Formats: sequence, structure tokens, C-alpha cells
Amino acid sequence: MGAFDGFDLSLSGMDAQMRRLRIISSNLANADSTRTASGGPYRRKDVVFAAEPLHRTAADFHERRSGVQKVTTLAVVEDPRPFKRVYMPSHPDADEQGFVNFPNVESFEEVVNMMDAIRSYEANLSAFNASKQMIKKALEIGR
Amino acid sequence: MADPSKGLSIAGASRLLDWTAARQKILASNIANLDTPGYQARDLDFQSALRRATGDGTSGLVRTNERHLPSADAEPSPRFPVQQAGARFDGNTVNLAQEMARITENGFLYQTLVRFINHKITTLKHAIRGV
Repeated sequence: MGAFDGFDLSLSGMDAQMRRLRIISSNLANADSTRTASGGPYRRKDVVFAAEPLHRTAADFHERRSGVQKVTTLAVVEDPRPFKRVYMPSHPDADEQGFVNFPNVESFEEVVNMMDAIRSYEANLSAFNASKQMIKKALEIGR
Repeated sequence: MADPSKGLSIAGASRLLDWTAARQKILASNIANLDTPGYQARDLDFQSALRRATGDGTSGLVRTNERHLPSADAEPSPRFPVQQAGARFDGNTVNLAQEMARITENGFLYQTLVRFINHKITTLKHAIRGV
């Protein structure tokens, strides 16, 4: 059991939320992108979080038992929801009927997600500072 | 007189200190997994930790070797799920406000224990010097 495990745990949380924020930025930036390298309009992306034991070695068996789990980003998945179809016959990407497929990104949804990610990031930061305070306090023992 | 520190030695207090440090990790792990689907919030039981630290624990099991399997009574055991109500649609049971409150409370407990140990050490120093 390492004394600084609390830091690693909180850092894993901050890292995961940071990745989530990057994906949200990408979604917002591409809210109107009708062309991508893979063809077709941009598809909204999302991250998948998963809990994982902090230590993977057998020596840390009791640690795993204690339920200490960090968070990792398992994958970045694409949102299967349909594209928004807008009637714009003059658009270069319009089909025969004059409809254009726009990305399935909802700005409001992304902003709400962004606020949630920031809040989670700050919670991890607070936990990090609490761990720091405890270690600082431990250094005062016997002084 | 009801003395909460009755029977709590420096060794007992340091065992509680270890417990508090272990709890800090579990709480940090809960917060890190705030948005992990299906994650169950965990916590440690203070009552049994206090009983062990004050020495009236009933368990006679002692780990004398690192490779011994820890007994449920001698090692931190997660208690889950902590809360049943208010589960979210993704099955995650972490409640941010509760976790923040617990982490603050845990920090104060740690500081209190450090102060307690320092007080005991100062008392011993006085006794040794005879002042």
C-alpha cells in the first residue's frame, strides 16, 4: 500500500475527465462538419469509463480486495443516433432531394456534459488536495 | 467519566491513522469513478476500526507473514453499496456531495489523530525530562 496512492487515484480521475472534455470540444467544434476523412458527416463521440484495480500484481492482492479502483477510459465510441437532415439544396453536400446530413451533435447536450466533466474534475482535485493535506500532517508527527 | 481516548495508545492511534489513510484511498477511488457506469461506492466501517484500535477486538487472528490471507476483521473491508436510494440510470451509486463530506471528515479525523499522538509524545518527553 503506497502512501501516495491517493494521488494516483485522483490523477486517474482528472485524466479521464480531461479526455472527456477533449472529446466534448471535438464534438462542439465539428457540430456543422459535413465531411470527414472516413466520408460522411461527423458523428458525435463519447468516452467510456471503466473502474480498474490500482495495482495489477498478485502481491497487492489485499489492496485489490480493499476496493481501491482507479478510472480509465476504455474506448471512444460513436453515437449511433441518426444525422440531422436539413433542406439546403444549395449546399455542396446536398443529396438529390436537396437534403443535407448534419452531425448528430446537440450543442446544449455538449455544454451540459462539459459542465458535468468540469465538476467531476474539480471533485478529483479536491480529493487530491485532501490527500496532500494528510501527508503534510503525517510529517508533523513527533515534531 | 466517559473518556473517548480511554485505552487508545500511540500504537492504537497509529493503527487508526492507517485506517484513515486507507479510507482516504477508497474515497478518492469513489470520486475518481464518479462517472463510471455500474460503479458501486465503497466505504470502511469506523466502529470496527475503533474497536480494534482500542484493543477490545474479539479477533485473535494476526498476520505474521505478508503472504497470509488477511482476515476480514484485520483488514479494511469495503462496505457496499453505501447508499441504495438515488442510484442513477447508469447503476453508479456515487453521491458527490456525500463523498466530499466524508473526505473532509476523514481529513479532520486524521489531523485529530496526529495531534493526539503528538500530545502523547510531548507528555512522554516531559516525563523523561522530569519537568
